[in-house]
Amino acid sequence: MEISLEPKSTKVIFSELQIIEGIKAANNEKLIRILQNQFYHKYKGYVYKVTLCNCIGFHDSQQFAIDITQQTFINALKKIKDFDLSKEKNQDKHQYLIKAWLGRIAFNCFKKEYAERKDVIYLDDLTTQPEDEKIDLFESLYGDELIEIPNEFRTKLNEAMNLLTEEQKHILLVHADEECLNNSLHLSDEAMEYLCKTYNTSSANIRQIKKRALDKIKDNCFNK
Amino acid sequence: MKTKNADKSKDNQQNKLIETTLKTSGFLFPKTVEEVKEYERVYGTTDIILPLELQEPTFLYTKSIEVQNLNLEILPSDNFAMAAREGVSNNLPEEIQRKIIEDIKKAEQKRLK
Repeated sequence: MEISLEPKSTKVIFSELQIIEGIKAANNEKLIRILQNQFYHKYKGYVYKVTLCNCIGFHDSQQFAIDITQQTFINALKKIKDFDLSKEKNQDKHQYLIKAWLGRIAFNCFKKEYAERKDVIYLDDLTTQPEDEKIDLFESLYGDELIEIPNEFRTKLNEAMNLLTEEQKHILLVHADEECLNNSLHLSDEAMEYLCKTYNTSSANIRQIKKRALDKIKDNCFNK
Repeated sequence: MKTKNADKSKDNQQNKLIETTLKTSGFLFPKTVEEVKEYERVYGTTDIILPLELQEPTFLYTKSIEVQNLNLEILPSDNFAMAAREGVSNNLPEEIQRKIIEDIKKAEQKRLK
């Protein structure tokens, strides 16, 4: 009988904070790679799931979601030095903060990938643009308490969104993301410029498309 | 006047409801802790089956053009993956491209022996 003197390989599972701080501080390339892999495996399922949800209804949704997921992790690892998870002392909240942070990065990747798919000319502008300033503001990841949504309304809204064209849906979502569905509120210049360039149209036309899409949604959600 | 204000308030409430629902129903990326929690309450935390391209993070070492900035160790197997993806390797620093070619030559010589 052979007895192996080799120690059994054991996989060390690191906490969220250890992974983030480890990637920042480690100077051993192997360790960096191990930590990056653990970070990826912990969050790949979540990022792909939310990304796929966002991409449904857009052309070639699965490949679109794969591209965004990959780019999200590439960008996250580039930006990880600015992400200070140690500010939150409650470890139970760490995974939510990381998911919220990854959500912001994924949203920016979505915008770039979508513009690239629509028309390549805007890609260069977008890649040289600074990222959304909010992205590194740790405090903004906490957000406000949410209002309760009845499940029935969720279903109705889901059905109503399926009635919109890809263009209407995208324009409405960009407005909703900036909490600008109200007619009195206007999109940021950056977001409006992004939409105008993506659809090669005027801001007045973008507002008109948003209004029609919103009316359709309300008609289906509140008037039926 | 009162009716006009009431209409406006109702309109605002409806818009808020739509915005929040879009943020927590998968139409928009959850970007705050509360939105993430609500999203996971609705959709659960079970992961979905991942496509092959996402099973392992090999793209981190092949897709990113700033490989050097990530301080990654380049393994020969990764280099072959890069070489297989024509064009991508053109974006890599010369030193890494040279290493890829050397590794391929070495492997080729080994195979012929």
